[in-house]
Amino acid sequence: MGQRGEPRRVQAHDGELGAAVARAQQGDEAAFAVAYRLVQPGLLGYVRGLVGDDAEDVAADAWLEIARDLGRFKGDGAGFRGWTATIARHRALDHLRRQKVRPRPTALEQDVLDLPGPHSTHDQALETLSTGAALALVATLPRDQAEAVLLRVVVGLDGPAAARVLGKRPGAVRTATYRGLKRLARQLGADGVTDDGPRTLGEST
Amino acid sequence: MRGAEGGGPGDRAGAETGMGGARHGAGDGRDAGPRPVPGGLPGTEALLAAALRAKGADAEGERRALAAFRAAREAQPARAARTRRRDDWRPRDGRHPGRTLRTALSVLLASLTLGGVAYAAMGGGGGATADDGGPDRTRPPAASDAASVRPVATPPGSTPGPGTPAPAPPRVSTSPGTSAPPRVITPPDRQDAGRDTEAQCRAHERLAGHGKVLDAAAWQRLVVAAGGAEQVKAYCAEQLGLPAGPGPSTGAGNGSGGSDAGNGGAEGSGTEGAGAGTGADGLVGEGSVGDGGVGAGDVVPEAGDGGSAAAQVPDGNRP
Repeated sequence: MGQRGEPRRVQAHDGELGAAVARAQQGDEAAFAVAYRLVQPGLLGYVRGLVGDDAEDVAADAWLEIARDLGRFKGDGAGFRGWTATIARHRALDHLRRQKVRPRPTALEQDVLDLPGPHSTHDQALETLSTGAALALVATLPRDQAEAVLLRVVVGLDGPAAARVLGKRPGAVRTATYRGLKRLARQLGADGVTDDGPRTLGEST
Repeated sequence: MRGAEGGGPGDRAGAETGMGGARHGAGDGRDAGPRPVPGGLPGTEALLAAALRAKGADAEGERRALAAFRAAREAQPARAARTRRRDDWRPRDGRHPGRTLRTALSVLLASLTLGGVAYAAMGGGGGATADDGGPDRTRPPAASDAASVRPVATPPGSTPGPGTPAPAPPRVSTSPGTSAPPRVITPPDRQDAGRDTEAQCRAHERLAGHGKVLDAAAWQRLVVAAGGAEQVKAYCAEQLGLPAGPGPSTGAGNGSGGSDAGNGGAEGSGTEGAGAGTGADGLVGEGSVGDGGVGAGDVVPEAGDGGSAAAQVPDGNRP
C-alpha cells in the first residue's frame, strides 16, 4: 500500500528527536530547539491542512502547551510526534470552533484560485503542485480521509499513532488513509487538480 | 509548469517557496529528504509531503516556543508534572511485556499447582499400589464423602477434571456411606496389571527361548517392569516365587498396609480436592490463581467440608 514509506522516512530522525526530547525534559534548551526544528515542519503542515492561514498562530499556541507539558510526556521520538500532533489538533479544533462563531474566509478558498490548470500526467502534476494546490486537493477529501492522509504523509505518523491522535480505530484510519491517497493519486494523475469538490475541511467540524 | 509560476508569488510566500522542492525532493530541509517509494501510492505521498510540510522552521515560531520552554522550566519545580494517560506515548511493545509476563507467571503458577496436584494424586495411588492391595486399598475410608467422589474424576487422567468436582461433592457429602462406587473404579486396573505381570512371567517361563515372545507388547511391558531384559528372570522369580504373590497379597496386604493406604488415600484426595478447586479457578478466570491457592489452603485441613468449599469457589467466580 505504500503507506510505510513516509513514516519510515521520518523515523530516520526519530532517534535524534527522541534524544533531543529526553534532554529537553532535563531542561536543555538547545535540545528543545532541535526538537522544534524536527517536528515543526510536519506539525505546521498538518495544522495548515486543518485551519489554513491561521496555522502559524495555532501552531504557536500548540507549542506553548507542548513546552508547558513537556515534563509530562513519556515516549520516544515517534511518540513525541504523535503527542505534539494531538496537542496541535486540539488547538486547531478549538480555533475552528471559535471561527465558527465568527466565520471568515479560510485559506483554502483562496488557494483554489491559485490552482494550476489540468494536467494530463502525474509527472506534470508532481512538478507543479504548490502548497496551496496540495491543500486544496486534500481539502477535497472527506474530513476523516484528509486528516488521516495529513497525519501519515505530513506529520509522518504510523497507523496506530495516527489512530490515537484521531481517537479512532487503527483499521478505520488505515482505510481512510488508503482511500484518501488513492483518491488524491487519481485526481493528480487523471483529472488534474482542478477537480471540484467540497472544500470544507476547515469547517466540517 | 505554468501553475508553478502562478502559485509562487501568492500571499503565503513562506509556504510556496518550496514548490520546486516537490520535484527535487530537497525543499523541506533536512527532515524531508527524498523518500523511499515502496510501491502503492508513493508519488502521491511524496508529492503531498513535499508540498505540505512547512519549508524550514520559522525563526519567529522557534523563538516563541523557546520562550515558552524557558518559562515552563522556571515554573516546573513548583508544579509536579504528572504524566496523564494522554501524555504516555511509549510504544505499546514497551508496555506489553508487563502484561505477558504476568500472564506467563499465572500460567506457570497454575501449571505448577496442577502438576503438584497430579503428583499428589499419583503419590496417593502409588503408595497404595505398593502393597498391591485389593479393592479395599482405595482411599475411601478416611477421606470423607466429599473427597471420596473425586477419585472418580482423578485416576483416569492424572489431572483432575476441573469441571467434574464442582457439581458432584455437595450432593454426595450428605451420604457418607456412598463411598462405595469410587472404590470400584480404580482397583481393577491395578489388579489386572498385577495379574498380567504374573501371567506374563509364567508365559515367559514357558516360552523362554522361543524367540517370538520378545516382540510382543506384553513382553516389552514386562521388560520395562523388570527394569531390563536381563532382570526379567529375577523379576519373575520374585513375582512368582515369593509369598507376596497374587492370592496372599490381597489379604495380607490389607492387614498391615491397609491403614497406611487409607491414610495416603485420604491425604491424596484431600489435596486433590484443593487442587480441583484451583484448577477450576485457573480455568474460569486468569489471575485468580491466588484465590485457588487460598482455596487449597482451606481445603487440606478438613477434607470433607473443605472439598465442597473448594467446589464452590469456582462457582462463585464464574459469573
